[in-house]
Amino acid sequence: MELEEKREGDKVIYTITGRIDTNMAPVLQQGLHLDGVKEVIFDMKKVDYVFSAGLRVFLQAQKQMNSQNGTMKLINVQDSVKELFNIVGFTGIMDIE
Amino acid sequence: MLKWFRRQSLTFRLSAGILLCVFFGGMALLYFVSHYSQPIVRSHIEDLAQKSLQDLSARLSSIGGETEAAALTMKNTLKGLKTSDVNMMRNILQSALQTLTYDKSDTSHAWIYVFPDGEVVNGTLYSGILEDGEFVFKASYVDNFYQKYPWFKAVPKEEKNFWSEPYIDEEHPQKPWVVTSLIPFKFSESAEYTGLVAVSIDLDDIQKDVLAREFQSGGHYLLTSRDGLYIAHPDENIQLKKTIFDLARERKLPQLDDAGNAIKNGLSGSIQMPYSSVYNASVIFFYDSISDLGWGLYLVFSQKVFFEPLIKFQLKVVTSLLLGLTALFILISWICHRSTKPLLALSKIAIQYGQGDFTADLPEKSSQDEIGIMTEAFHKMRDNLLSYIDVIKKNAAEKQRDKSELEIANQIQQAALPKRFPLHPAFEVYASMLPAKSVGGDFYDAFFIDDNHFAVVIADVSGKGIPAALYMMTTKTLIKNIAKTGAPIADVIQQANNELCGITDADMFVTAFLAILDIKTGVLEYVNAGHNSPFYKDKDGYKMLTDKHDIVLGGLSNIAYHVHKIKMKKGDRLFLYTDGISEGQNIHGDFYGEDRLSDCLNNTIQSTEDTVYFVFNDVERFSADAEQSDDMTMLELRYDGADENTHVFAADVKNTDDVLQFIQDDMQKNHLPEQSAYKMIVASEEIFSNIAQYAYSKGGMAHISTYIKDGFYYIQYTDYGRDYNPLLKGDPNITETAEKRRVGGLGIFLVKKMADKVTYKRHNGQNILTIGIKIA
Repeated sequence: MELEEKREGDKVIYTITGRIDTNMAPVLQQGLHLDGVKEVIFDMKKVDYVFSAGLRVFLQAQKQMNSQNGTMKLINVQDSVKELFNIVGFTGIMDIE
Repeated sequence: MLKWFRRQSLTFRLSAGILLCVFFGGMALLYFVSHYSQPIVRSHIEDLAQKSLQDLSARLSSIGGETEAAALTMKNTLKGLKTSDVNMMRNILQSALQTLTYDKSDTSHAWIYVFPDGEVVNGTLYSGILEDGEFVFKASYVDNFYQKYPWFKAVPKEEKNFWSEPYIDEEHPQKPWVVTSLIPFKFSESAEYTGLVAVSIDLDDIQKDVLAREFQSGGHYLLTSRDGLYIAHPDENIQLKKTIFDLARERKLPQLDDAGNAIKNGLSGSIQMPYSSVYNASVIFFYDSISDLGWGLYLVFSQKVFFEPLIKFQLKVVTSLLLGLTALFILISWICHRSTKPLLALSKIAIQYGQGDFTADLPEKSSQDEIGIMTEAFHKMRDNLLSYIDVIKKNAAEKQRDKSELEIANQIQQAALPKRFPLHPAFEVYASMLPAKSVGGDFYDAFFIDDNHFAVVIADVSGKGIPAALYMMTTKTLIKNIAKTGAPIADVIQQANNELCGITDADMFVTAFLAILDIKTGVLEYVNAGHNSPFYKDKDGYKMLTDKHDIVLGGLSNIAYHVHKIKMKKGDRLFLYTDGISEGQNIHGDFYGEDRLSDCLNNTIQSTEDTVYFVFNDVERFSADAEQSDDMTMLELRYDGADENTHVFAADVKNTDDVLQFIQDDMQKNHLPEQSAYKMIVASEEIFSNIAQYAYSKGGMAHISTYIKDGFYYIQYTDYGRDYNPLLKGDPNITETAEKRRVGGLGIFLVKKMADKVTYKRHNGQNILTIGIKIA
């Protein structure tokens, strides 16, 4: 998995490449810096698998953004991955395109 | 004091001892010398004093005699004259004065008094005076002679010389104090006394003469008149003013009275005076009477002065003694220092030797005295010490070598034991040895004989140290080599035993347990050569195998060993151990024992590695602070059943990719649609990471097999870890808001959602989770 960060003021775009499995979830978690961020965008174009450990990272990110009145958006999510988000009910609480 | 003295150096004590003796000896000598010399000195001084006194007395006596003689001559000349012719008188006086030898240049006075009527009161006084050698003659009429010379009344009227007491002569103004020798006379025997002749001596010169004299530079003289009046006395308030009796009274010195009276009686002698104002000390008076004049002459000197030379002499003796003592002290110190120097050198060397430094050279034996003997003894001592130290050093070096040899033996022994065990779908094995401090003789082994046979061994050689280690290596090699030939298990043991019996006569032996597993059938053959009974676990838990033991290896040759058989079912385990486990002791001396071991085993059914780990921990907890006295060795073999499709992966998240790859490949091989495969991958990742993270305490395996049945593709995950049924876990509420959603619990939920079928089974210590997906 690879993580790329692009920051414009209080807006951050993270571009993730690869699968987010049990090994990589902690790496992703530590790679995110969302304090004081108003808008975060995850570009999921190159993510083919997100396992439960990865899903937890997104849930926590969403919780933090909600608590600091920010917005979070996942873009370019592959269908198979979007289906996983759907299964665990994240499509109802996250902005997924 | 005595203790202090004993603490001082030998030099000091010796010097002090000798010096004290010499000092006291010297003092004693001095005492005797002074004691006996004092009287000698005293009598000598007394002789001197008496002689000196007599000299002066004689001189004064001669002055008196001369004066008396002059007066007598005048009297004899006048006697027979009938009248008193002035010229005659003048001549008589002049010739009388000329006879005087004493102090001629000074004033001398002679006179003749004539009273024609026989009465002394009125008469003619003829006076001749020598003034600075010039004779001056005077003739005068005297009205009242008594008024002029009152003392004259005491003069007896007989033709005999009479000495007056000192008085002031008005005729003689320059030297007023005089004494006079006078003689009354008559012109004829029948006639009345008609006059007197007199010659005066002035006292001034006599005084000076007496006072100027010294006795031995420490005494002085006194002169008294007949009545005791001091004619010569150093004190002007006394001289010619007081008598010796006055002083005796004033100063309360009755001795002076005695002396004065003795003089009156014409005696001589000496008195002790307790005090003298002149000398501020007690004094001795020597006195003598001057016979004609009736005067007293005294020699006074202080006792102090008297003995001063003696005291000075004694002081000189003491000083010389002290000087001598100092010289003696230096000499003794020097001698002692020279004598003890080699001792000090030896003691320094002894200290160095005591600290293990033998580089200091001993001085050569240079004399035949005690020091020489001691030096020789030191030489012998050093040589002996050096040879002892050599021996000890050699011993120590040997011990050190033995120790490092032991350490190497320990390392070789450890290295000889397999640490990595085969990853096989049909069985799992794990073993470990925790060596005691010294090299023990435990070992284990686990190896394939061929593709279908796997052997495990555990053994314990009697004794410890290098021999045990060598024996252990030999036994291990023998068993493995013979077993690898494919020989039946009974033959393996028998041959190994015979070989070991041939090796040594020493009463060494080894207890061993050998088991060979037929991987396909699960049949386990084993032989127990005197080893602890192992534990066997089936679905009812661990139990001890109570088969009869055969004899140990290396004891007796040509023994037929009994072979036992057991058919292992999936999940059955064989647990081998050495007595280091069962006989592990705590500080109270209690043994760990088989019962505790059995309990521990039954409470901890997980992977074989976990079993070994748990038992180690339990024994250590039991032994607590007691030192491990024996090697602790364990081996566990678990049979998992032969299944061609089963793959084994170490339960570690690092292996996730391998697991997923394996499944991906298998699904591709079986032509699963991409979407189904995707779901199975998602589910598999959850299941494997779950096993990897939670199933085992220490480490273990995950068995994965796949199969197709009734239109479903199945993946079965088996682990031997702790009992865990994931399906009992509740599903998360996926309709909650983000804030209320729990972060955990998604994994199993995803598995359930991804797979079409999910089943869980717990069987014989195994967690078996199977997921299935429909094929087309």
